[in-house]
Amino acid sequence: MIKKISGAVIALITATMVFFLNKPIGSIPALGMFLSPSHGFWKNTAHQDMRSATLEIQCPQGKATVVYDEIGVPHIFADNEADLMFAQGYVVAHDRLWQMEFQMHAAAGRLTELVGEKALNLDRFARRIGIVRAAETSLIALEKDPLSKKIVDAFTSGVNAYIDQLKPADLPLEYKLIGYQPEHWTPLKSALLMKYMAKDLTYHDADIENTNALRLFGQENYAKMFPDFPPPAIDPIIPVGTKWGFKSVDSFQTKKNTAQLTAQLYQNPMKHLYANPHYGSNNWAVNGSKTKSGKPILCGDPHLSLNLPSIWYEMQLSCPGMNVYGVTIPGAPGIIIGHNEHIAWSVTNSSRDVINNYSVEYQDAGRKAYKLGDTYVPFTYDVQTFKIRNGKDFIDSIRMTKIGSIVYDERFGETDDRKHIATYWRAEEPSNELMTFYYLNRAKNHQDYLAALDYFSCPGQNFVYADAENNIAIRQQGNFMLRTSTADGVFVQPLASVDVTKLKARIPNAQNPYILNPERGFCSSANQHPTDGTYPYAISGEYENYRNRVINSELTKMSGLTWEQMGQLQNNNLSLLAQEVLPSMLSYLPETLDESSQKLVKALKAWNYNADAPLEAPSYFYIWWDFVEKTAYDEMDNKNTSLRIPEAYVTATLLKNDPGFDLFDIMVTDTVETAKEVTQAAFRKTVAYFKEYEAGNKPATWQMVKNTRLTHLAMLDVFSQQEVNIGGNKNIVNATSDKWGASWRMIVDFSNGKPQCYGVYPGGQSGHPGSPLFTEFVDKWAKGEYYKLHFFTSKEEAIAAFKK
Amino acid sequence: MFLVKLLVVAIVALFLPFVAPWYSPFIACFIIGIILSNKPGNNFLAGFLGVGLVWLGYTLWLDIRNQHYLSSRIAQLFSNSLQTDISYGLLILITFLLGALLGGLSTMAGAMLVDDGSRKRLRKAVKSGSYRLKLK
Repeated sequence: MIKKISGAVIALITATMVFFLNKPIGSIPALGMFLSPSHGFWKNTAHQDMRSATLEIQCPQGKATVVYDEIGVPHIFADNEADLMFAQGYVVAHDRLWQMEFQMHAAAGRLTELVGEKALNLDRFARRIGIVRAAETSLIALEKDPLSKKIVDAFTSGVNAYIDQLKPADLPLEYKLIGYQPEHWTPLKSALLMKYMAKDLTYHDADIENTNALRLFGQENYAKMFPDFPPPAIDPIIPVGTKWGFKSVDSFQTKKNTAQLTAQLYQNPMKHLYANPHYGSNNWAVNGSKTKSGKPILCGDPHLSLNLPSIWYEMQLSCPGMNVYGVTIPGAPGIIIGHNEHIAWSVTNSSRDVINNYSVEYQDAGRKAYKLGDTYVPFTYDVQTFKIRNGKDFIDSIRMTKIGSIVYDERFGETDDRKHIATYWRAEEPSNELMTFYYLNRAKNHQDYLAALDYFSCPGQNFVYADAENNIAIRQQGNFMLRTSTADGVFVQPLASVDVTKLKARIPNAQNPYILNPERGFCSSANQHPTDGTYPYAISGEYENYRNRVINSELTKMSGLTWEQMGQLQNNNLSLLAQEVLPSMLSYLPETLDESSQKLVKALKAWNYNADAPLEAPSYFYIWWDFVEKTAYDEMDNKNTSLRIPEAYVTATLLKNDPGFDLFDIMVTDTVETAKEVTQAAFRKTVAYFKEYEAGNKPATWQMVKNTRLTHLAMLDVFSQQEVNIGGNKNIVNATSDKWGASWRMIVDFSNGKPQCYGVYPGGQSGHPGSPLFTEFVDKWAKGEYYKLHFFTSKEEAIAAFKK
Repeated sequence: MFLVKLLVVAIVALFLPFVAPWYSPFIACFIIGIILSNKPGNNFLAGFLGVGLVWLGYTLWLDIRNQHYLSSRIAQLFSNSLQTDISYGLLILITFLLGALLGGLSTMAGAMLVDDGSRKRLRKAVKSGSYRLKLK
């Protein structure tokens, strides 16, 4: 009897142990499951390491063949486009399921379901600015077109076919670690990912900061800090002097600054959740007049947040009527950047302003209606529920106006009624961007390219183009607003003053900045101004002024080009900022300096202005430059009023040419400071900074000081990479700074009639941290090297090359 | 008898999880304990070694093929969150002990719950059942 009782007790204890080992506790996963070799993380070491392997996928209508090459790039061959999209969905899920679902959760404002309350503000922001509403609107447009519906449905079924055959033991590691299950994919989720990209590329609006700057610093200083076209010169995408051949389509459009301003100083409590406009993407195409072969070369290096798994997934998609190679965002059907047999294309961000912020005037303290025109309109409500892991649901009721939602109000970040902000975001307009890629993937010539672009609304992009027939072109494409003045959309304006019809009006696609086969033999873009001031529309935005000039001057100089030289240009580390401003900065320093200061000055004077990883001079320069900006713009360090500092180009120009500029005066002192004193004060801080830094026994090389890192999407440090050995910085062609960088480098060379492609990205094809493929490309990427990519003309050719 | 038991436990521990949850071998061990014998110590050892060795062998096979790439990162992850130093070797040891201990305990508990008389009747019932099945 005693034996039986002890037996029962032991059984009970064992069962209890199993029960608790099957449950996650805090951030510790369910340990029994997690450590068991059959279901735990050990299992994630073996599977899904796809390299030089062939896979057959049973699709709805037939079989698709997938040939993985030696670096894990799948080449998919199917008999029709629906099966091809099905197979693409299956393969992408196979290699990147966790990533695509996690990014979808971020887009949908559903991270709280995975990580709990700590993500609530992030999620609320995502839903308040309208990523979900925008995705729902674009889904309607997408499903209205039978073709795009067919494509996205097939893709969705493919993803789900993979999920359905996935056993719990084979779940990607992160599901096991965080403790959740994949859901079925839907077309809405693909739409959410596209809108998430739109948020990442357009949500860098500065209306609030501009309004505050104008109020605090006055019209004259504002014009110096944020000029429409910064002096002395800009180098736009469409070369200066190009004739437009058309007039503005609308009489209300004016380029005069006539905005009606509001009387407040505003806060931007969630500015840290805005996108960063300084990613730095480049693209260019050179025609045969510039190349050794007499055929064009197209280059593209979009820069984005550096994460693991990498944002891009590389693949070849082939079926009758289409054969395309390039990269896609896991979750999006088709190829987003790449080439086929006839054409190649790549994108950079237009950086155009597509967001308007408005101050709300309530009818009364009940906040039930807002003023629009002369009347009060009742709000509608977008009620959003947030499921919170280990917590109660949270419900956010978002006030909706005719132009968009109220992002900041008493429920979210702003207690003062007079400072509530309603936002209009162009991404919420109906659009079907998917069709752009559908038609680009199949394009044969430059008419096809232009027709494909017409579908693209938001985020505005610079699509560079080259084809085997020696044509090159670039068009800035998007659904851009017809600005009623140069101040429209630049400052917070009263919501009451909005004319909804005018707000929704657009510049016709045919009048977007565009050039075909320019005389100079190349087209290029690097997030700079699309045009000069002769373009008949106002083009507010946040533009770059360094990379474009380096690229254009190099391309102008060069001839007899080969793909290798194009690769060197993509990896060019010249800091034009330093070249232009450092001599002035050094000239502002006093004659006599102590020993530690002299060490820095000596290194800086000997520097060739290349921000290479092993050098110390770029560390000294960029830390010094940061201190110059902080010291000069000490006025911006304001807890209650959001402000932004001007572009580096503007500050550098002021520092050299306008040393007495008002803002150089340091507020806390009684004396009046100029550029000279600011530069000196910043230099003393730099010397002190490096004294402290070197006490930490780390070399002051640019690699270590900059610390370029690839961060795991769920911030898991053990799967991230730190201190990557790569040079560059923002405002440099190789715009790889601490957390942003070249997310894909591509060179398509048409020299042999057949396009030959070279590419590399900071990551690897597998999204599984247990796979050596996870970070396989990182070293090559950091060194500025490329893989020669396989573009197969037939299934048989691919199988012969890689069948095991 | 001990070796038979160990072998049965090992086979179950290796194959059952392909179709059932990670803890399924322990339920099976408990049933094996009920059917096969009532020597608790002997059963514990059979379960301990049967499951433990399978877990250890399987883990080592996976980990060595992966060149400890993932296990050292997971070890680091645990080290960070528990503020102690954990190596992949320790993870392998813990995995072994976890499987072994749960295997041993569940096999032993099964053995202790049922006395010899009922076990004989149980076996007989099982036998006659299978006998009848064969007839059909």
